[in-house]
Amino acid sequence: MGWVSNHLLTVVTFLPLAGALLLLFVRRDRSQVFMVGATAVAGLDFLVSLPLWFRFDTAKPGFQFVERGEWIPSIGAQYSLGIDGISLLLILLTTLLGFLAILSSWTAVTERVKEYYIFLLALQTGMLGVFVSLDLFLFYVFWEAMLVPMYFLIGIWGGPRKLYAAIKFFLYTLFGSVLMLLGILALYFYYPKAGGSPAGTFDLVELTRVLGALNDPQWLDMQKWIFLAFFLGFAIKVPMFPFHTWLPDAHVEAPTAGSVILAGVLLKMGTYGFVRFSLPLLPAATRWYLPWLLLLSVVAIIYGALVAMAQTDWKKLVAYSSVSHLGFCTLGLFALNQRGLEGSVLQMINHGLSTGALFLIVGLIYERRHTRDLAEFGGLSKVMPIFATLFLIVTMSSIGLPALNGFIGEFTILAGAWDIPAGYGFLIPWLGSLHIGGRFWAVCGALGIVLGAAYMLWLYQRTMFGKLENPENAKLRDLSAREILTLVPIVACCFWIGLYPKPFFDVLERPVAEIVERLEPGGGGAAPVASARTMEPESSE
Amino acid sequence: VPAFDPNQLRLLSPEILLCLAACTLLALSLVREEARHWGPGLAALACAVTLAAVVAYPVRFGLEAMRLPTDLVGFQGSFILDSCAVFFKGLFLVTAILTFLFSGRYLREGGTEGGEYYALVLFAIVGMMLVASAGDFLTLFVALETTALALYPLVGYARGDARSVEAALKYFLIGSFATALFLFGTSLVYGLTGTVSFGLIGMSRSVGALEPGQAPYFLLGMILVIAGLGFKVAAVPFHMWAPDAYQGAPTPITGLLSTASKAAGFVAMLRLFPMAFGRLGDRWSLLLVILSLASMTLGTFAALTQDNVKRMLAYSSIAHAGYALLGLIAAGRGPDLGTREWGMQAVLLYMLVYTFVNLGAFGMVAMLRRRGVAGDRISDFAGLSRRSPLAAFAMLVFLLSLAGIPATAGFVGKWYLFAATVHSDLAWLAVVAVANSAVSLYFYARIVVMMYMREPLDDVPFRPSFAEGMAIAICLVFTLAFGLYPRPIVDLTRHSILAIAPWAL
Repeated sequence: MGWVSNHLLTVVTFLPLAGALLLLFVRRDRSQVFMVGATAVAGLDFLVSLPLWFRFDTAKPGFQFVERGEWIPSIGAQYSLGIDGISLLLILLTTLLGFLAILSSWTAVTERVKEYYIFLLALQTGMLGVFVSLDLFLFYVFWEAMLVPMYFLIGIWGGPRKLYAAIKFFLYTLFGSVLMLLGILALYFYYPKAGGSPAGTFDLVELTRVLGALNDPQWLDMQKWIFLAFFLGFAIKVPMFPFHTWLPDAHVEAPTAGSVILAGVLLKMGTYGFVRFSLPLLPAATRWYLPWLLLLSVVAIIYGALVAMAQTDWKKLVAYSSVSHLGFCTLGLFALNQRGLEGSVLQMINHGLSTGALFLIVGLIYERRHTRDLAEFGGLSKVMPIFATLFLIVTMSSIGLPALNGFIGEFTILAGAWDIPAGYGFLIPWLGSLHIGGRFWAVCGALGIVLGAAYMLWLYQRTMFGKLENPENAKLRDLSAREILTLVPIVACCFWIGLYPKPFFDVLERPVAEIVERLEPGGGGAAPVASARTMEPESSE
Repeated sequence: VPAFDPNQLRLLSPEILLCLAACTLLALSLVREEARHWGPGLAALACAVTLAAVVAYPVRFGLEAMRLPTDLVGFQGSFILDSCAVFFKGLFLVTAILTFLFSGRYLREGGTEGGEYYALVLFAIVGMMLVASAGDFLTLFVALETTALALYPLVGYARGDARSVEAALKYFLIGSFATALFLFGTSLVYGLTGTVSFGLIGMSRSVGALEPGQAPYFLLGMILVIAGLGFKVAAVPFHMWAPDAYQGAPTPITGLLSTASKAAGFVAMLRLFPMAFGRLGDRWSLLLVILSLASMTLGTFAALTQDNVKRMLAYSSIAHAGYALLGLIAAGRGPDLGTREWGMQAVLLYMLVYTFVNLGAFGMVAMLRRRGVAGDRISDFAGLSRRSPLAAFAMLVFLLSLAGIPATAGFVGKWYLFAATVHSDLAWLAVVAVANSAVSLYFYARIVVMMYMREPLDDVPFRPSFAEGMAIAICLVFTLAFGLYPRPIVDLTRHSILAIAPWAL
């Protein structure tokens, strides 16, 4: 027991993989074993991850539960794990959603059951590894290795266009991440030049200590390139506009559990990457690109919402809503202040919960009707009251109704965005020197909330209310106990965050404050306005 | 100093041993009809014994001891037995053993079993081992020719198959042309410096060869030598023979061509360029930049449209030659010794990893051969995950490793190459390399799609021989184990370059 509690992160990360390896030895026709086994492993993993929450000390600075071991000493790559409040929340989200996704697959997946559960469990390890790695080399290994099981999940158990969606997903994300690899290499080779130890290191803490505070013109130039490399890797994963085109394909074609994991956890790896690597390591470059980053965030919010509104496919609508919601996350993130970042991280969790639930709901309907065309539905609340109730709560959570989690996240993000200094923006000369920036971003975000409410409520209205006209729908049965069980934990979390978010903010406060402190020019307490003026990219023509 | 010191023959003992074994094998197959069945076993045994002889010295005294000049050099600098040479000799012998394991059933299915096949492979390996030790142009030339002359008939070994014969002819004609270029380049360098020894050329060059009137000829000589070696590693624009030869040759020989033969080209470059052309690093590395850029891009994009797996892997191996050249480029223009060492180490590491991975991939293609089915079309992989989950998984790992996905050894190899490139301030080249590497996933994934997402074409059971299974298992374990824990191979390559690294100053 002692070893386990000292290596809690290792156990949490590799437990699913160990379970997958065990399942390898079971005969493939015994599908019951795989269902129950995989669910048990994922459930156990969730239970094992709970002590992280209880033993987490919100008052301690830096990383906790740190484990370090030698790995490839000649290049300084280490097996080094650790979490702060930000990764803590994402790990809990991952273990919870992983468990629910596996639970939701019992009836949805009937073919090649063995491989399915093995890939899901392997995927789980990959994602957890991304969130616990403190070593960039290790991080990259998890980041890319995780693509393989996801590729198979989409490619084997996906919808009609699965092969196209799977390879598109793989190539897109791979392209982004190999460029990120070069960014990592550039950091690695700059570190000794910047006064770090000549042996070189991939250790995030050490790199941040040396490079994050470095202030010489050559490094600032370099930062801009490195930022771009990281940006492509992360922005494709998030996905930020205009790198989002893989997302609708992958989400729509993936099996339900795949969509839940994709939307719930995978996308967060992009935003997490920004918070964990781009902001602390490359603060000056982040500020330099900030107007563009904010612009892309706002475009994603509004564009995603508008496109979602035009969808006739239930799953595609939810997929595009993700683009919009992730736009909120990046908006809060690039507000670069305490509230914005806290809201952003919380919104990552919220989006994971509510969109994960939405995909589960689409999956439940698809299993019954084998169509997702919205025109086929209407009046479902009459035959499926429990389903309708849960769907209503999730819808409300997604549009940000007070007392539910979405409200807390979006409100905090907008509050943070409201404080974006006026300097971060664009000057458009041919519109009478119109200045867009500062509070403009928050206003756009608020508009996005309105649009979000519109498409979600419209979706609810079209499917749940009205007359039950289609005779196919009259025969639908309501949710089974297992199906309810997949949604209830999510709904409970939605209420928890919505009614009493304090524990979450407590966990986030310190790590976010540390990042914000690094982001301020000179690391002092001065507002970033002064430097923002000089760093403002000149007006677009 | 006498010109020939019989004492120094001990340096050559592994090569002599292997030569004798090859001759014995050849004689045995003439005398006794059934000896051909023992071919793979005897040949593999000969390689294993030779391997033991090669590594005995470093195992006994450590690789560090291989740095002492008196123990290293024989025959007045013609023969160098340093740690780098030992590394490559070991690699060639392991490649040969794996090739033999893949060959037995493959040749039986094709009805072309014969003792001369194994003897020829052994002669080719002897040639490659000599390449690894060559310290002057004459030895290098003879060694390269020994290799090539043994490989020509092997490519055309399937006499009944028109494609195989055509491949051999193409390989022979283009190979002879490359030899001529190499020889002409050598003669120019010799004419200007008066010596064929790499080390002496490296030193004398500063005296006379680079004077204004002579410099262009010296450079021309160097360029021709690079062209000649470019053929050996199948780098664009000297790659034309590769797709046809790879496709036509018996699959185990294709594996040998794409790994050991390529590695032989690289070890020649690794020794020749820093030693003989050391102070011209920025010149030859510029040429290599062009070769590398063209190889990576053309190899990757040509592979996208292939339907024959051997041809696809041929183009992929052209691309991989382009990646491996990145290490040599870093060895030539790296700003400091650390970077140059890094580049050399990256080449060694990549050759090591690539050998196991590519042999595994070609081995899988060989395993798909059965009576009447060549097994080299992409569609032959259809539904392999149903027919044999383990074989499909092995192939998946090899393909991911070729694409450079982490947790496989291929990633470690590529990581070192890309790192060397970034380290020598060629970030743009690294961007091209990683972009190609990402694109390459597309054609590797086509095989994955076949294996996992298509139904089998027929329900003939998949029955590889025990030897094949063992060889695949070795390649698979290597790829996964060193992908997750690369420390042993990183340290091995690090030590292996110590003897040649000082020349890169």
